[in-house]
Amino acid sequence: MPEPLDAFFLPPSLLGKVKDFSLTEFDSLAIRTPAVTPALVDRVADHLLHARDDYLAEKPVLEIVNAIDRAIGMWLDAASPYRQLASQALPLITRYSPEMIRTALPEVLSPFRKEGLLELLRLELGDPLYLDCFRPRGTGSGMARAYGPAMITHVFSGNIPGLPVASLIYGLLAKAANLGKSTLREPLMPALFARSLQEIDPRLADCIAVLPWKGGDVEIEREAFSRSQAVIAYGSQDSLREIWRRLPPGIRFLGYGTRLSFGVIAREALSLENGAELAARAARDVALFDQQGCLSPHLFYVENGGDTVPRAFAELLSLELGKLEQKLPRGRLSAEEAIAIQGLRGSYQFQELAGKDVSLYQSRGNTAWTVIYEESSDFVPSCLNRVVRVKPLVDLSQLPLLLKPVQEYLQTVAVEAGPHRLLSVAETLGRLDVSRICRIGEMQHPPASWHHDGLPNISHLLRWVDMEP
Amino acid sequence: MRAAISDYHELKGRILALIGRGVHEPLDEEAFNALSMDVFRYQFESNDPYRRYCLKMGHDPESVKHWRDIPAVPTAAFKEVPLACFPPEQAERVFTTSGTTTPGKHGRHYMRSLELYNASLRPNFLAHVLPDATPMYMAILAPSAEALPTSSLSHMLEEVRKDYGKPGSAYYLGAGGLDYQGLERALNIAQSAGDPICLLGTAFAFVHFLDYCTDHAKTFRLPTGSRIMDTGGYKGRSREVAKEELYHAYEATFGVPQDHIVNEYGMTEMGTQFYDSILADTLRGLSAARHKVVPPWARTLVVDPDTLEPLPPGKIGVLRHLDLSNLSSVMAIQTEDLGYEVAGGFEVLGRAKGAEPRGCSIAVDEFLAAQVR
Repeated sequence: MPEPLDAFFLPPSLLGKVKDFSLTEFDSLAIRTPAVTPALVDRVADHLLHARDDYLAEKPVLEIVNAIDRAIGMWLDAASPYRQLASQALPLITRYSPEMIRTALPEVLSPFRKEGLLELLRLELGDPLYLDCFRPRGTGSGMARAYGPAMITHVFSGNIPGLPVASLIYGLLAKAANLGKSTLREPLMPALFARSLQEIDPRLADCIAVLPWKGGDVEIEREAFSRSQAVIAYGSQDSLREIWRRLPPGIRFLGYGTRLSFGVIAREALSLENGAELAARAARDVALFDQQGCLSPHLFYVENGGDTVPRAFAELLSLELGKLEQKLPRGRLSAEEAIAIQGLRGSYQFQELAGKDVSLYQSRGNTAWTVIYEESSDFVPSCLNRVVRVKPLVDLSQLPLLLKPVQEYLQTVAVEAGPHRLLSVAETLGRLDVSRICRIGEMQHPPASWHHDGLPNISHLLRWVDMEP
Repeated sequence: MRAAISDYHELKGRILALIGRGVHEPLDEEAFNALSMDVFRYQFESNDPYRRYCLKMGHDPESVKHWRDIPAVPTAAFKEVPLACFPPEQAERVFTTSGTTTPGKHGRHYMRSLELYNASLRPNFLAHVLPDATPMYMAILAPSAEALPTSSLSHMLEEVRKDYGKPGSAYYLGAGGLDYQGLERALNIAQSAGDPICLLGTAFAFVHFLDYCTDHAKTFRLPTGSRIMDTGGYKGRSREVAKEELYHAYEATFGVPQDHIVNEYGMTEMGTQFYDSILADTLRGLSAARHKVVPPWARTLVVDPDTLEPLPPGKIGVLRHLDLSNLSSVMAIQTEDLGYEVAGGFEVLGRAKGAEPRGCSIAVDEFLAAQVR
């Protein structure tokens, strides 16, 4: 077995202070993580806060942007050691296929190049330099300056390898020290990203620590939260509620919970010519990250009356998922996940045999992909891992009633509709608490400047000081 | 090529004869295969949705040469269509699953008659739960068949109570929940009379009674020969108990040794039950490892959950059963239960997490909910 891989990140001066490590094995890979205690978190917080005061708090935001841009640039180079290491290790840790990691990593990281970051800052702040000094506020009404939190605790999830990186980047742009709580399901990516940043700007990386501990460890989290001014957490509604309950008063909290996303295709958008192409894009939305992410579609609503009927679209989608299985194979499943798919297939097979208006399209000999065409238009969440339903709509106006039961979970909707209807569909979806509307094929690619679950990513972390004339 | 002559009565006679030979008389592969091929042909011809399913999977009686290749019906199918080789409205009894996660969607097993069901349950129960001593007092921690006529478990328990229970054997789970005091009294009487008692019920009901005993600092030293048969999952909504932990608690609370605790594994979709070997083996002086015994009229395969292809012994996969006593429905059942093959049988690890819990345990737990809090 090769040397264990360090799947955590600590400022160098603290590295020697950790004596206890544990090894976790993922097939042929062993990763090493430190035993985290409240005392360690206390020391780490001391260090991060000092490093932040001494360096990051004074660093011009555009220099931070440049450093992040260079780090992302390294990651986008397939030959870079970080990318190589991640490509080898992440398939073992996450059970995503090697092809998936190879394809998806650059896709999730590329929005964080310089252009993307500058756009984000401009959209959220107007003038990014509010983060550096007092600047005129609007036209002649005094000055203002924005301060980020001294320290943020991030509670990462393990489902999408790029997500913790985005969270760290938002924290750095707010000039905060960042304590990332990683999960043993996937502790590596945020640690590797911090290491790549260290190569470019060691003092910037000195404001980051990434440590795994068991979620909900009250002692450790009390220490972490009490030293932070903000907590950003990703997880189930239950775990978010539990974190929220234990936060000290006055702390800012951004919680990103379980979400449902889906696609809608209006009749005018589905011609005979573009059916296959649209299905190929939809298949990509389904396949990327095997539906593990909040951006992944659970189903596609297809309006009746187009040149390609909904059932035909389901069949096209199944063909495209079959093709993608070659290029972008699905990851390995647990027995439970595979059984869930087999059970669902069994149920629909017999509905089909019983003469119900359903059609089942499935990979042969394994559970790689499943498309279910079903007449009932109720919103049904998928059991994931490339199981997707296609449901007909008589008219788009049915959407509010169908989405009502799942309204609180809605997030991204991929919409294909003619220009005359697109805005009204968007209005409808907006009222239903959908927070992002995009094209089919782009569900997994939000820009850095998106409002994640409807909220800004940086300005929500800031505290403003107004100076009146 | 043999003619398709087999009809229900002829097949039923052959299966009854097989069951009549008892649990310890193994049936060789060739004979099992011949009988299962005839049953498959019969079911293919008389069970309409099953035939269409087989054809869709590309199989028919001409292409299937071995019982391992008989198309297995996923348990989920029992919720969608009547899987019967006769007009389902003529069923003598319909057993249903509790199906708590999708309300209103219950799996239904249509029984043309209870003859095969009853014939198979007796020798199997006797061999593994009461091989040494009948009749015995029975205290049953499950609803009676009268209270829950759609439960195959309740039916099974009532059959064995009638035939092998001493007068006074009784049910301690009713519409009002578990009769804690009544059960406590029955155990006290058994203890002071020195008369062995057989406790039977769902693991959930036992968990609730154990909690009651803990709360009231109550333990028993049940007479030698007393035993426990439990069934159903160990995980649930109110409280999750590991099997080892539960069996230690049985031992500590009832004074029943581990080798007198028998787990039964059965399902609504199947006429045959599987029991732990441990008690029968202990009494026969054999080494007593705990595993499930497959009676001669059934077979169990462990298949890969992703490909549904058979796995080698020891590998964890999902269980598929062939049960000749399911003559008038479908004999090949693809479960959602994880397990692995061992010498002489298999071990079951329980229902896959995330898959829908089934069996009587959850319904019984609901039954108890009002009483508990």
